[in-house]
Amino acid sequence: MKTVMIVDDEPSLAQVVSQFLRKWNYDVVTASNGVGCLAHMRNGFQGVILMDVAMPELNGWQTIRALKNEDLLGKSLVCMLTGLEPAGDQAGLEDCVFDYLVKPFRFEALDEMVSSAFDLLRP
Amino acid sequence: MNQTAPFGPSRSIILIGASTGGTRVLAEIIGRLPRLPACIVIVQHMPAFINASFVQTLSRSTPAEVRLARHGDRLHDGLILLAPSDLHCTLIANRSICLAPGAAVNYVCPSVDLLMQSARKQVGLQLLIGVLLTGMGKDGAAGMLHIRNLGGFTIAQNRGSCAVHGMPAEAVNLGCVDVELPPLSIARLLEAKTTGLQHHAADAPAARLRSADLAR
Repeated sequence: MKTVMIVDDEPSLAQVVSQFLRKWNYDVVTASNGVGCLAHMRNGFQGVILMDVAMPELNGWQTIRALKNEDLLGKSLVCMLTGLEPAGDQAGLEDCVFDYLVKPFRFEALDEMVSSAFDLLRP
Repeated sequence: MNQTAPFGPSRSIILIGASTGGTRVLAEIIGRLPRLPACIVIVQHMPAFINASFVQTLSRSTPAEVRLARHGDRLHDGLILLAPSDLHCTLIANRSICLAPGAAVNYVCPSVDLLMQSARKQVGLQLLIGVLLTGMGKDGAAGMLHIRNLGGFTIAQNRGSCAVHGMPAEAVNLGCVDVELPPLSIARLLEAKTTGLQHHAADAPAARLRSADLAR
């Protein structure tokens, strides 16, 4: 099963995105910030990660940096799903972010991004 | 130029750099291209475990030969080489591929800058094109400047079609971009330039074509 992790501190947005992803036959897990994301990764998550940037405790860039430093990215691909364009605090993470979608976005664009990522994750 | 000779040295070389969001854009561009009388070498920042699947994705979409670059590969027309992750990929005398481990440049390995900066001005090279697509950071901007200084032609993906405009924007800021285009227009322009067709992608609203001449 193809599993998507939504990492976002906005429950309403995470819920709407989850509904669409399930409609498109993906399994969905959620985390409300980077700490939750790291926990999922340590538990062996593999799939596509939809990562917000502005979050409490660990923001999106800090989370990706932690995943990289702890070698936890494994065979997962990170896609940013955020209202913020890169602002310079992502230096060194250029090869860790597979794709990027700025809010507000069209759900067709989300579908295209996620399916493209899973197309490359095929065994 | 003999466009059918499979193993003659390419007189036209296209060097493409991409990062975040680049795999979809590359699939769109390569999927629109016929087998070109040129060799294309691509650096796409990505984890190694998707190298093979990305080659497969590109191969499905084009009649050209697409494969992961190997050390010593000779450049020839109709060939599309993808630099493997975690090795720097450069050209030797515009004729063959050098793969070597090395420190990250612009935080990445392979580096688009290193690939593009390895291109040389050389008798017999008719066409040198640099293409810089969506991505974070600044990798590729200095390489595009190098290609332009050699008399090559440079294309940057336009802001509206980029997932992240960082890399193309850095090249634009250096003043070394001949034209900014969306993916479909980039494909059309690459075909036109390499096949000698007269039409080009100036129909794109965002195009900023200068009087740059490939043969200069």
